[in-house]
Formats: sequence, C-alpha cells, structure tokens
Amino acid sequence: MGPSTRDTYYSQVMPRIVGRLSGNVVLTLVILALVLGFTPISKVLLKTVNGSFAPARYSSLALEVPSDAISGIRTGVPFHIQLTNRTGHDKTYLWSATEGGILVSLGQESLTNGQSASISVPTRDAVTGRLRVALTGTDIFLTVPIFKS
Amino acid sequence: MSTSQSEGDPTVRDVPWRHFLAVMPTGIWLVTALVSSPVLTFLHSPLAPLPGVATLLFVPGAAVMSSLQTRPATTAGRMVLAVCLSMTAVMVVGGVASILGPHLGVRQPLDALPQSVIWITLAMVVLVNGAREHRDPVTWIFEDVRTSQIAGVLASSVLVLISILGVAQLNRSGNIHLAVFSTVLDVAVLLAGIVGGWKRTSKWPLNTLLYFASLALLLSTSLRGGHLYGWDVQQEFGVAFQTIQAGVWSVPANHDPYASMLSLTVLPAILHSLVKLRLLAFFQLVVPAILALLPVAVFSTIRAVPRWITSGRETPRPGLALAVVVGVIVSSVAFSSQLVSITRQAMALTIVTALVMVLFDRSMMRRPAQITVGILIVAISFTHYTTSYLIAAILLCAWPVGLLWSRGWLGTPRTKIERHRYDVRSRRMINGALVSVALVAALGWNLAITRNSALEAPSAAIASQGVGITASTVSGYLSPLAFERVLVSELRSGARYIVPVHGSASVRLQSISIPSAPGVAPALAGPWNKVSFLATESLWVLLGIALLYGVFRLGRRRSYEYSSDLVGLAITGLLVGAILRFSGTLASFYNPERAAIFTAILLAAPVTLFLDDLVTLLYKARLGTHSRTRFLTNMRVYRVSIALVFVFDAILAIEATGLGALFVGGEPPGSLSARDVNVEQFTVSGPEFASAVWLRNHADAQDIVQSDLYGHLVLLSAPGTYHLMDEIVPPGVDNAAFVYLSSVNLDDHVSQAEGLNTAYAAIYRSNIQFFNHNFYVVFSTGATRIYH
Repeated sequence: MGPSTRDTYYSQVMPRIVGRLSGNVVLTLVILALVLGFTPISKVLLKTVNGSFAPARYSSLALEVPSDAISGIRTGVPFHIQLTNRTGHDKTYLWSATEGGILVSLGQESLTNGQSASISVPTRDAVTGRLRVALTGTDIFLTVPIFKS
Repeated sequence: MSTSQSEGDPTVRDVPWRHFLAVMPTGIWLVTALVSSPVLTFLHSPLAPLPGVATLLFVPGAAVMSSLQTRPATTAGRMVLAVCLSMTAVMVVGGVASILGPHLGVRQPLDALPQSVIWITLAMVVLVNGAREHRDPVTWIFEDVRTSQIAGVLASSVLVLISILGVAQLNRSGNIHLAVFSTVLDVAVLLAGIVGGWKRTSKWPLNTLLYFASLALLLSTSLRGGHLYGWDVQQEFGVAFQTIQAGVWSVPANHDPYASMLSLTVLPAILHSLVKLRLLAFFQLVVPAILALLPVAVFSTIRAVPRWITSGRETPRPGLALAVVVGVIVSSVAFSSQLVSITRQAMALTIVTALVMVLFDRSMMRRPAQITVGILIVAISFTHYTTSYLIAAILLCAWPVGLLWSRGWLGTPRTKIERHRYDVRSRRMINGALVSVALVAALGWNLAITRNSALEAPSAAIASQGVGITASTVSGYLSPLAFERVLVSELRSGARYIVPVHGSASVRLQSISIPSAPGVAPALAGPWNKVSFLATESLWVLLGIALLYGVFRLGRRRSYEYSSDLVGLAITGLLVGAILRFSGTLASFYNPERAAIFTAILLAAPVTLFLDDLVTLLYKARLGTHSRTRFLTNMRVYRVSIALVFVFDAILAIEATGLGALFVGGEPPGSLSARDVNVEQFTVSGPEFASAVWLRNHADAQDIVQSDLYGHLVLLSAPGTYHLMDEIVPPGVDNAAFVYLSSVNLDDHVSQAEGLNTAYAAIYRSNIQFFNHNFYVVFSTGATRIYH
C-alpha cells in the first residue's frame, strides 16, 4: 500500500475536526480541565452569587396516628408525635403541650440532620378541650382533641 | 463519501480487523463514555451521568442515520435528527424489552443489568455494521466540525452558566438581579444575531447562539423552585417514578394517558438505570436540552432553500431566518415558559420539527427521507398522544391538497397536464404511505394497544358543548361571592358524597389582591400592553399573508418556485391553529399558545420565503436613476428592514420572557420573580414536597384530601391513592377530609380555585380561622399545614 492510499484511507475514516493541531490540543485540555474541575468550580461560583439548588430546610411535627385527630385522646393517656429535623444541621428542640394557654407538659429533643424521633406526649394534667403541641420559637404545631377519661 | 474509495482499497479489504478502523471514532466515543463515567462518579462530580446521557441520546440516532445513508445538510440539523432518532431507539428498545422480558424470565428488564447487556450488545452491532459498511456513525454527523465551532460552543455556554447561577441565586435568596441580567443577555444575543446574520454571506455562529440562548431561557424556568416547576410535570414525574420502581413498563390498566407514553416511562427509566441520571435531572435538565433543539431545527429548516424549489431563489438571509425563529418560536409564551412543564409535548414537538426539517431538507434523498419521516411519526405516537393525533390530522389534510395540485386537477389545461405531472412527481414527499403510517401509529398506539383515555374528555366536551367558538379563550376571573354561588351549585350536582362541616354555609369568601410586581415604569403599562398585544396578534396576520403568498406562487404554476406539500402543510397548520385558538371547548384541553407553536413550526418556512422575497423586492426597487441615489436608497432599505424586524422581535421577546411585566408592572414569570402569583402557582418548596409525601404515606384510597389550586400542584408532586379535590371553599369541605394548606395559603392568606374545565377561576382570602376552629392540625412544617 503506497503512502498516498493509506493517507487517503485514514483521512476518510478518522474523525475530522478541522483546525490546527495546537488549537485542537488546547481545546481538548480546556474541556478536560472544565470537566474534571467542575465540582470545585461550581461550588465557588454558587457561593459567589449566594445561590443553591438544595431544597429548603425545615423541621416538622406530625401525629404518628393521624386518626387521633378524629377519635381524640383520653386524658392521662400519652400520645405519640413524630419530630423530624431537615434543617441541614444538628438541632435541639424544645417542645411544649398547652391547653388554653396552660402548660400541660414539655420536653427537649436533640436530633441530627435528617433524623426523626418519636415523642411521647403526657396528658395527665389535661382537661377536655383542644391540646396544642408546639416547637418553641417556631410556627410549627399540632392540635388534638382531648376527652376526659 | 468514503465508502466507495475505501472499498476499492485492496489492503483494507484483505485484512478483516482493519475494517474496524472505519468505526474508530465511535469506538473511541463509547470507550471514553465507559471510562469517564466511573472516574467522574469517583470524583463525586455532578457531571457523572453526562457521558452516558450524551452517548444514549446521540449514538443510536447517528447509527440509524448512517445505516440509512442519509443526513441533513448542516451539522446542527444532523445533531437534532440524531437526538430524535436516539430517543426513538431508546423508547423502542425499552418498550420491546418490557414486553418480551417477563416472558423470558426477566421480570425487571428496565433495571441496570438487563439494560447494560442490551446496550452493550447493540453497541457491538453498531460497530460491526459500521465496519461492514465502512461508515462511522460519529463521523457521519461531525464530519464538518471545526475547532473554531467547538470554541464557539464553549464560549456560548457562558449564557447557560449565567442562567443557572441566576436561578440558584433566586431560589436561595430571592434576589432577581442575576436572573434578570441573564434573561436580558439572552434576548440581546438573539437580537444581535439577527443584525449580525442579515447579510446572506454572514458567518455568525447563529445555530450555536440560538441553541444556548434558548437553553438558558428554558433552564431559568425548569430549575426554579425546590422541586419541579409547573403542573403537568408533577404528574409526569410520578409516572416516571413508578416505572423506575417497577423496573418494567406495562400497558396501564387504568388507561392513564401519561403512563401510556414511552417518553415518560421507558425513556427516563433507562437513563436512570443505565447512566444513573436522577429523575429530577431528567425533567429539569435533559428535557430542556432536548427542547432547545426545537428552534435550532426550525432555523436549520428555514435558512436553506426547501427541497422543492429548484431555481429562481437565493438562500434566505440567515439573520432573517433567525428573526422568524425568534419571533414565532422562542418568543412564544408556550416555548419560553410552558413547554418545560409539559415535557411529553416538549419532546414530541421537537420530533415534529425534526420531521419537518427532513421533509424540507433538499440534501436528503427522497426515499431515505420518507423512511426517516415514517420513523419519526411512529416516535411521536410513543411520545405524546395529542401531538400524534394532530400530526396524523395534518398529514391527512395536507396529502389531498398536494395530490389535487400535483395531478393537475386544479385548473391545469388538458394539454399541459402530462408535463405538469412529470414536473411535480419527483418533488412530492407526503404520500399515502406516510399518511397511513401516521394514522395507524396514532390510532393504533393510543386506541388499540394502550387504549388510553386521552380522547375521552375532549370528545365528551365537544359532544356536550360543541366547538364553542369564542372571541377570547382566556379563563375568566369571578368575584369570590359569585364564584362561591357557582361552586356550591356545582358541588351539589357533582360531589354529593361531601358531608360539609356544620355551619360552613355561613362562611363567606372575601376578596384579596393578587401579589404582583410594581414595575419600574408603571405609567407605561397601558401603551406597552397595547403594543405587545398588537405585535403578538399581528403574527397571525403575517402567517396568513405568507400562506396566501405561497398559494399565489403555486397558482402561477411554476412548480420549481414553490411546492404543493409546503402549501398543504401550511394550510392545515393554520387551520389547526385557528380551531384550537378560537374553540373555547378545546382550549380547556389544549391551550391556544401551545397550538400556536405547532402552527408556527409548519408555517415558519413560508413566512421566511415571503419576508425574504419582500426584502429583496424592496432592494430591487429602482427609486432613483442615478447610481448614487440607488445606493443610498438601498442602504436606507437595508437599515429600515433590519430596524423593523429588530424592533418587532424585541417587543415579542421582551413580552414573552417576562421582562415587559417586570418593567411596566404585572405578573412576571417565576424565572424573574421571587414571590408572586406565578411563583406560587408553579413551584414546590422542600417543606411542601415533604407535606405531599406525608399525605401519600398516611392517607389511603378511602380518604378525601382537599387543597386549593396552589396546594393541588404540591400534592401532584407525590401523588397518593387518596381521592384528591382541589377545593377548600368551606361549604365544599368534607368534615372527615385531610385539608392541605400551602405556603401561599398560610403566609400570604391567598387561595385560588378553578371551576369546571378551567372555565372560570377566583382568588380569595384563605379561611384559616375556619380550619383552625373545625379541624385539628396533624402535620406541620411552619410553612405548610395539614388539617384533619
């Protein structure tokens, strides 16, 4: 096979990105650097503009048995609530159960980020009415009906 | 082509392994993807799925084009077609695997292992076939790429980078400055392209600029919020999630149209299992990247002379073609803010534009082009039911128009009829076979195979209400009191199972003002709204004139100057657009903006031909006898024509992107606003998504869950088995229901309701006290609340 035939063959089957060799090499290096350095570069850029795609942080309270809101809780019988920490950091929560503004019970719970805990809420001093369990310093609360046993 | 010469090389033919040198570029591509994905995963890079996604969305289509020995004239067009054919290949492979897999003992054929085996086998087939034919799929597409073009791509991607940073800033801090700058920059780049590309010999990289500016605009919407942006996309996410969980696609027993589409089930499931693409990333990034190909495909189509025209025409000015794309596609409300939320239609419309591009591309031979069109028609039926029906209807109507003219049955003198038929025969693309494929694909897939219910509601509405021609198709807002009366009567007839709370009938709805942007120059709101309305509506006039012009050219019986296929597609496109634009009944199911973009795709070529002829006519007008006078006149025409097109496009683009609402006041889109009605209506935050997940886990099929229209969007993001009602007007709330109140209900005290078939809506003050008094709070994040 003569050189001209080989050259013709390879020029037809190899990829043809037309341009100077030095330009192609520089471009390849730039693309490689961008791909490999994407993680640190993107972090710096997001920090620079104070931006983020992370979901909004939150804490939540939930009745473990939602039907408690229909059937009600008898005084003296504790009921369970679920506390969840999705704030992105460890947090200690103070909670309180009140009835008509009067304190019935309170407690404290420390959770790491992403952790949930079941809390037993005592109702020994409650009377018939509406019990409110709230996290101190937040607008996060639950309410349940209380009946006299 | 390399084929004939390399086959003639005896050395190459004699040594079998040398055949594989022919497919070395594709081999290198595949090996690079296989190696780089684990490396990027090891580095915890968010780009880890990128090599795999690029391979799956490009190489299969390139292989199909290479096998058919056909490709569009430009690299941009080839890439669009490669992506569309790749999507087709992935959907077909996944669909076939899902049907055959369980019979062969593979219960979850969409999982990683079976898919890896299938795609590695297919890669081998592609390489062997390419080696045998001496045609490399990757080279087949990228043959003409230059270093400077790749550098241009890298430079243009700055637009996307700024857009992403703008959304990130807006999502986290509510600061809109970078988002506004990004949108202004995208619009400015597009308008600059019109000026820069005005000369026929312009070398501006318009395809690259158009793609990246469009992508930047789309990402500014798709990445907004903590979850997905928009209504339909929430349900689409749910359908895709269920398919991934099941590991197999099957015909939905409940005839759900969404679950019947392979584009929403098989496609994201394979990308997830094979290349570890997160489902959110599919909807937020991959679909916009596909949709941004739509204007590029239209541009590739209209910047060249269509296949039927054989003489008497120069290539249209690139800048003018870009102006048409920016005016009728990028600046349409549907493209800039709706389609990223309706991903099935976004993908289907992109395939439609590829189909039109293949029909018009003069460099593709007739037979392979018709086969490609047939494949794309089938792909559309797997992608979106409505688009599939529409394309079948359009081809069905366009075919007889072309047939009548090409047979010479429209007034051709008897003596010239044979000559006329001979001239036209080789130019017709739309034939009975393609129409049959379109009808069989649309009806067969939707009605015979999946038996989905997509047509049920529209056909029932047409049967009961008629077409309902109206002057305006916009939903009407009622006052809260009027709305309450209508709603209560609706509930009495349609939701008798509701047991209202005692005393709820006495609660009255109160009005509240809608949150909106005050604007920089609110005094200009009146004139601006008139100007932008006129510009938008005049587009329809322009489309109509362009169509008449085409008919006129055709009527002169100069088949080498125009085409009956072109006119047939344009007539039916305009007809479909007009029906959906003015039918109040159909507008409830397929909004007029989305219909307009369909029409625009079909009419972009006639509009460009018309405008180009118009500009040329002005240039050629001899308004003076002296050469210097003629030169000055031409210069004036040159400037005036650019200025007119520039200003017209600027008005359309500023209005569609929401910059107008930001400037004169109003309701800018979510991409340019921290908190207003559009943000609340279409975004889902982290606490809201958590609430939806809690309800999915705690409310079962016996339960009723009620929310307002804002909350309904949130609950769609994690659908449960419960019965969902988007209504929390007190007389319509069941006393045992779960009631979800979203952030906007609690923080802004605003609730929104919609009547039957979105015919009317109302915004009113949230009745939080009513729920506090009559229900108990069972879940709370502070920003959201669930009562029971």
